[in-house]
Amino acid sequence: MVSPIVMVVAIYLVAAGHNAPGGGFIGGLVAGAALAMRGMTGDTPSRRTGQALVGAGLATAAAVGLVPALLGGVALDQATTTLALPVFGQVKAGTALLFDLGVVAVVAGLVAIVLDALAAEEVTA
Amino acid sequence: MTRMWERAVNAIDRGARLQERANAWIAPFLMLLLPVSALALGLGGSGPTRYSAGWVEALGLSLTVRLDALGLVLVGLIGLVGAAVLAFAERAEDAGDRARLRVLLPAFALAMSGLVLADDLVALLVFWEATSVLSFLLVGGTGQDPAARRAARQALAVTGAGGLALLAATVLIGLDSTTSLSGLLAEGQPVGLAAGLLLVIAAATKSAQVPFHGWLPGAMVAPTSVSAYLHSATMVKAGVILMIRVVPVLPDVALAVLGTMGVATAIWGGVVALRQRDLKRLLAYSTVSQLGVMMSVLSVGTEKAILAAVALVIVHALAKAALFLGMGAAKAATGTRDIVELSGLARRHPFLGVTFVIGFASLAGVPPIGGFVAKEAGLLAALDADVAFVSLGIVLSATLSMAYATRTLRLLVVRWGVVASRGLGAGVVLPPAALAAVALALGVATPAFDRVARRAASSVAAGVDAYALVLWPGLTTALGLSLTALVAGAMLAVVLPLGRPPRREAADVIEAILDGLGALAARVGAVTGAISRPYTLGLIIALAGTGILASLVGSDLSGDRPSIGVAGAAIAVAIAGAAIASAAARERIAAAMALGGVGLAMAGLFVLVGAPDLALTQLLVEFVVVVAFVLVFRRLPRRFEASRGRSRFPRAVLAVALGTATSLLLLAATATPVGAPPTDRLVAGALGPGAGKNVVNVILTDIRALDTLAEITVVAVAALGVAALARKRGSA
Repeated sequence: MVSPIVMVVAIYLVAAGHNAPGGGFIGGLVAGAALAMRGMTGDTPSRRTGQALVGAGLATAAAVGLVPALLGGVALDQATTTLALPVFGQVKAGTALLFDLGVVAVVAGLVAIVLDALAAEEVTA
Repeated sequence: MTRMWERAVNAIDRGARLQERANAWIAPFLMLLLPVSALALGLGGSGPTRYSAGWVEALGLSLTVRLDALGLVLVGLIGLVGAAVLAFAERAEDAGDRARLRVLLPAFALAMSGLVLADDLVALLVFWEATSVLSFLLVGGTGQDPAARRAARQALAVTGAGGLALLAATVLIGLDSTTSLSGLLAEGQPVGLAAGLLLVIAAATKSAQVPFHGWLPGAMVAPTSVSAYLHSATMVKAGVILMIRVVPVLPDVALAVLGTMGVATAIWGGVVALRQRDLKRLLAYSTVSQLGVMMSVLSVGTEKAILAAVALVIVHALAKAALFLGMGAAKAATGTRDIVELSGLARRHPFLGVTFVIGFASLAGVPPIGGFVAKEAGLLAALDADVAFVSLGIVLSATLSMAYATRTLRLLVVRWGVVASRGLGAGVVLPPAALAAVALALGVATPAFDRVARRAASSVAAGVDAYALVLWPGLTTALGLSLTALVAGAMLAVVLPLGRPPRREAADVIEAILDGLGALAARVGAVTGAISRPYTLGLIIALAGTGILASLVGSDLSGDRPSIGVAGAAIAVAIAGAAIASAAARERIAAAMALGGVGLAMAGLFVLVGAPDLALTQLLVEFVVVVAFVLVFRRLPRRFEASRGRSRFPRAVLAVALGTATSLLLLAATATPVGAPPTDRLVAGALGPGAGKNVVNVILTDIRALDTLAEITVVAVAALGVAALARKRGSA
């Protein structure tokens, strides 16, 4: 019950990060805690999810960094555009947000893996 | 329903079989595109074409390939042999090996093509290492067989060391002049002595020259296709090819070393080959010997010698690959590789017999096969340059080659043995036969061979057109020596009884060295690991504290700092109280809670001084750490073990000392502003190009995004480490 709510908080933190306190690292921490919580209470193995997240996150961040280089610009440059979304109103979206999502995934994956490992160790011992 | 299911499964099965059959054609066919395109480029192009891609421009590094005649001829060779090997592999190797070979062999062909086309030592080095790694993977196989693992490790250790030598040589040459191969040749200045010797060492490891030859016979644990392709026809030629490329700029001493090593290898390889009964090991040592011949011919250094070396590379690749594949076919038919047990093989498999005859005749240099033409050219080059010991080496190695060739052929072809064998498909017999046919054609149609080899050699030696490869040189000293070698070799084979293979081999020496290194590492690990953990930790803390204090000597601690007010003072007291509580706690969980309290209070302080971001992070990290503590403490005793007084005291001293040092460091850091704070510039950058109001986050994701990328890479690696450690624990 709690973990979806925590997840929403994590997403808010990431989205808010551009202009208000928040951001990838923090959002990742919260999301990782949510994953680990789910893993501890239910029987969903959070370690595999964590590993997948770490890989996908690193790949996303690297890819976002590389795309501008391939397009002939400077690596890790970002593009911004303003979108009008129904609920959020005017939202400025940049590729930096994608990069940040990569950060989120890596951090969340790490937290999930570590907490899961610590919890699992206790079970097998 | 069930029937439909069955039909669906059957259809999938049929599809899989069809795909399997298609694979058997697709891979060799694709490989054939290499020689075809090389031929097209060679015929169509006028002069070499260069392609260059920038790499690290700040260091002047670029990946440059040059499609010159030598490169194209070698690419053609790689593709031709590769197609035959893949066609053979699809029909003769185990199903499990096939899938791996289908990926790794073409990958190897790509790396090898890059190696022969590279016009820059740096690019060459990259491809060079790629072939080493692929060789490791191909020899190691699935990693299940200890012998294969051992051989793969040896091959990687020796060729890897050679790669380091090549790297060092590249750096030295790059500092002196240019790493571009064509640039070096154009300058015409010999490279430095150290660089020259390092180049020779690199070539010697890859091309299995004495004393680095041990890994090559060891690598024979690999499947036939791998041995045929990498360890006889192509990869082991990389050293020779490197030497062909640089021989005009090698200093004389390096040439002398190359010659000595080559002659020793040519003779030693022949002697050991003569003592083998295992056909595959015999062929391996024969490869070692032939590589020695190529190196010694190259050490003569003349344009004629370069032409001869190119010819030797071409014809040996074809003949040796044919022999290896033929050996694999013989093994498939009879289940043995012992030449005595294989007696009379040719009666049952005449095609295989013809392949063996042509292949061995080419090795021994019997006219009119391509091998004769090439060896004759090498001998002529050595005689013309009056390098007696190289001439002698070539003649002796030819004698030994003739001896083991005659002995093997007598058993396999002439003797009317009764080896039990099963029939072989055309797909197994034809690839080696096709390669042997090409080797034969190179001799019979010498003018064509001559044109190809001469054009290839002209990429390195401009004046090579003055010489030619010929089948009939006239009644010269070289011909006389060759004929003497052939007769002497044949007699040696008849007179000399089949000995026992040597018990100790060079591979054992390599293994002993590697084992010694491993044992040394284990010793070091044991010594450092045996020191108890409190001591190691204490040492780290003491060193850190000393370092901080040392850096603070003489710095000014007074300064104008903003006040934190009453609230700040209250928080500071709370922090101190929580810290003392944590140190005084008797139960682990209480200590962890108190430590969490320190963190929470700290977060409060951050809010107070206007860093909500930091506070939020601090808070969340604190929570997660407490959760981690709780998880760990479930496995540990509830209370701390009663520590003895004498071990508590030094710890307390260390802790207080480090705390004092850190406090002093902070005081010093805030005392003397080095320059104007960068805040204004960063804020402007964030609001402008970064387009965000959360400056910290814009710095992380945009302005210093590369740092962040590196950080999350570290995080990812840490995550993998934890996952691996946890799994190990869990399974133990």
